Amino acid sequence: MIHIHNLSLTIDQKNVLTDYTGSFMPGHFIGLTGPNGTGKTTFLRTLAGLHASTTGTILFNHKDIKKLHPKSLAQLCAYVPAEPVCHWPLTVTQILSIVSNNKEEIECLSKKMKIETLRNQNFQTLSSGEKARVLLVQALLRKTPILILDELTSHLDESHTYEMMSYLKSLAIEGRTIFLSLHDIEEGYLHCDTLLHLCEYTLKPLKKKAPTLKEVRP
Amino acid sequence: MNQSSFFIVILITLFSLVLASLFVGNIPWQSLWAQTDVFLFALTHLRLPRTLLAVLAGAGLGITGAALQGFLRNPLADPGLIGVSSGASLSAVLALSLGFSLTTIPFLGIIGALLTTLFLHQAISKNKDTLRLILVGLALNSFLSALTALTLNFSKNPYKSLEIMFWLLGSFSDQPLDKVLWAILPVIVGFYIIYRDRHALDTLSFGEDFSHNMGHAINIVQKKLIIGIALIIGPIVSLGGIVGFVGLIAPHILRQILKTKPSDLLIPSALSGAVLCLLADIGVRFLSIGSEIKIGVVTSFLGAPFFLYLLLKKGKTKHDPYS
Repeated sequence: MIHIHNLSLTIDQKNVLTDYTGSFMPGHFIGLTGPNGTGKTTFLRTLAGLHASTTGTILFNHKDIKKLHPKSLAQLCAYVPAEPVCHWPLTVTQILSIVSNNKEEIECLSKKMKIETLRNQNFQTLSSGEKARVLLVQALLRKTPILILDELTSHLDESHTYEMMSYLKSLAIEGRTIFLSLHDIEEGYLHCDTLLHLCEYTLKPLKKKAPTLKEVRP
Repeated sequence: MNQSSFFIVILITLFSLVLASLFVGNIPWQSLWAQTDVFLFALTHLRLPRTLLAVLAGAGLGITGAALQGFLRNPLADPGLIGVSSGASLSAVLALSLGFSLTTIPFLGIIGALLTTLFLHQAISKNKDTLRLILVGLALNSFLSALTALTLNFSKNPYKSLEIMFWLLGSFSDQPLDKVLWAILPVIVGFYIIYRDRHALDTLSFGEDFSHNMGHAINIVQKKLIIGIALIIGPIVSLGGIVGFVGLIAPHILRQILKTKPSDLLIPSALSGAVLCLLADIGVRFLSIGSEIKIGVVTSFLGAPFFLYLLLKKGKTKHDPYS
């Protein structure tokens, strides 16, 4: 359960969001849209406790994230940045071993996300889509109830996006709260429970329009 | 090469080099039978402290180099390059010329190293660009070396200055065993502090956000690293002088051989650092013509071209700068 109360954000003295209040239940899949540069990433980083210039409170299960120990916060939410950079030439296996030593689980999730063939490849040489899948596996291995994914699907082609979104939806149904920033609004309508639009310092839910072509398609 | 076979190879090498270091020198091991007392004296009073110090210094330089490179995500970091060793040596030189007793020197070395790292910490607190830290460190290094030179310049006793200058060039010989044994304690504490936070170095591969999100408070990790490095570098420099480039080279070679995460490079770098220092120290005993070549001269002589090679290679491959 996430409660956000009177949240205002600034970055480099520029306003991003003013006085936002809202709550999100477990099992909610929230899509975040908005023009470039409005501060979607800042909002997501704030949720993950990584952005300091804020007023207002964010509560995870009634606990203020600013007062939580970093270790406890780490067990609650996993954050995947938009453009991940790995500074050393590490293989996919090594990257996954940073978060977990459970070989069976790694195997199982790697199969599910179709990255088992990439196991011994250098992460730096993977394509954006492959990187996104590896990082999702890495985040899932941490078994956190909250997932914060910044533009995870932005570099995927249409069919991979569809696949990823349905998978995220199934994760939400299992009880996770998922935040995903994205640009494909139709994809968002199709899979997300709520679609929030960040524009002019406010977050507003986007109302569903009439069914789009994608939804009609079997 | 996998981790376990590497450990077997490096431990065997280290063990044989320790033996070689104990038995190779001006007094050959054959004299063990002819002149037993002379040989035993050389063994316990000269070669044992020398070997211990070489191992200690190499291991310390190796682990601090690996930790700094991991923390800064830059393969060009090294406690010598960014001025930590110069800070330790400046305070030791100041103390020596002011006539402090010899036993306080290692502690003053720790303080000098600590002050330098604290300054670096402050200098990058606003702008966390890691390249900036290295540049600030290089400038600091030059300034501290200049201060050391100034101290020597003003020294009234020319013999003492000469002695200090030779000591600054780096050498593992002529240190009494008890002093070396005392230095082991802070170095081990430093090792423990750095090794305990090894996991944070892995998470830093993906940047500070990821590390924070994994539950590591980077500011605290940085402070612990600073203390750990000072505890290791302080005593090593105050006993062995400045032995450059070992901390730069050991982790870099291992990254090529082991191809592994920063946390798995710490102990191998320490072991390889010890091997490099022992090799260099045994080498100078053979190279000596008249007066012995100082070990810091040898490591810099070989290390500086290696550093140049790293820089040139880094410029060539844009996308994969560290492999």
